[in-house]
Amino acid sequence: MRVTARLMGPLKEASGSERLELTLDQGAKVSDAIQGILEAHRGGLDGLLLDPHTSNPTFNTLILLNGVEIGNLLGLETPLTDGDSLVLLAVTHGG
Amino acid sequence: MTVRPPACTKCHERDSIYFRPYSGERLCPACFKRSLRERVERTIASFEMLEHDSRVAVGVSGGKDSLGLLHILAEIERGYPQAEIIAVSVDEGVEGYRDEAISIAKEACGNLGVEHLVVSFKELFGLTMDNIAASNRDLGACTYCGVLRRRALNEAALKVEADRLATAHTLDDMAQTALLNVLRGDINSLSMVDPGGRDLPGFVRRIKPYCEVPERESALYAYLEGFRFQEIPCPYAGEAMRNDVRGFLSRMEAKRPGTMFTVYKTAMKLVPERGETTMMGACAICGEPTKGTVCRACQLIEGLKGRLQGNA
Repeated sequence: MRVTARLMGPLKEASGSERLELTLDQGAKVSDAIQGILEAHRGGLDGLLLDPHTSNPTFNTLILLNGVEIGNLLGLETPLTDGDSLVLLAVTHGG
Repeated sequence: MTVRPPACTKCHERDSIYFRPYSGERLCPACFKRSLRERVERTIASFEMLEHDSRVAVGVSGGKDSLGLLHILAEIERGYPQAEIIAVSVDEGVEGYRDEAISIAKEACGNLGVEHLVVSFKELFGLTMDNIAASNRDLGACTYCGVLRRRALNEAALKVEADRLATAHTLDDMAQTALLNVLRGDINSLSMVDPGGRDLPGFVRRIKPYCEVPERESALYAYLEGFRFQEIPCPYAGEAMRNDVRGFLSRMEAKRPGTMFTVYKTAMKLVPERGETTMMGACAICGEPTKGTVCRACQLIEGLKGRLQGNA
């Protein structure tokens, strides 16, 4: 299945592009998409996206699936379907 | 299988898009935005931050928090014809980072029809943050920036003849500051976190109407309102001890929702009663009010200038 990801704020700058197309296996979850984004950037986003102690991407990043924050769904375990769109926005940036 | 979000727990009509772990609410975009604005209004009322005819300078860095605060205060101000809002920005002189932010601030003020004043470290102190960061300094860049920015914002607020200076410190900022002061053993500063500010001679009263808005919710508000986001991070931010405290508090908040509110509320219990006045003298160098002989901003600037001349 294909999923699009939009990276906003410092994530966009670090990524070098705002939009990313991901091809994922059927049954993939949000966590798989995040893994795909990290792998596509070969570690370039790890410092921004992952908490250094727990590697959890949700502590400092607002992740929305089709406009809904994933904490309001099943978090990183939320299943994805073909055509879904994700938005990733760093929480801590700019005062 | 698509997971459908539950209905909004406020309007019971629309689908929710956000879950507040610390309250159990699930909110749709309209109810989320309204609840944030109402929280700011309650904060303003409970700390008696504003009068019906206040002239408010809003510190706008161009970041999501200050844009959100400006947006909400501009909405509130429409209900008070005698009140006025003026945006003030400080150009610290950090190439790239601040240039982008000032352009975002200008654009936002233009869209809202709010007057906007920019003051710079260069014009006020004769040095940019890039100069300071490159100098042979013995303190972190954020220490210089914080002290000088506070001074610059006060100068800007005085320039536009404001009687209040509103800054967009979020709940996260308040909790981090409280914990930082504990870690530094600085009980005196811990007791100065009052978001309602105080009337001190020579200073425009500083208010923090965003002090009960979690930064995560500030980011969501900015996204829902379609604000332009800053993309270039501050090159000096990594030096701050605050980063360690921020990480710790974020992890605690995720594990134990409400932690940030608890830390903030605990610090608030240590704030002295209003009316307790602090005796202030004038700085021997710049004449600004200070508790000592020379104000902190002048101490830092004079120290830097001495070193820069010594290196020349």
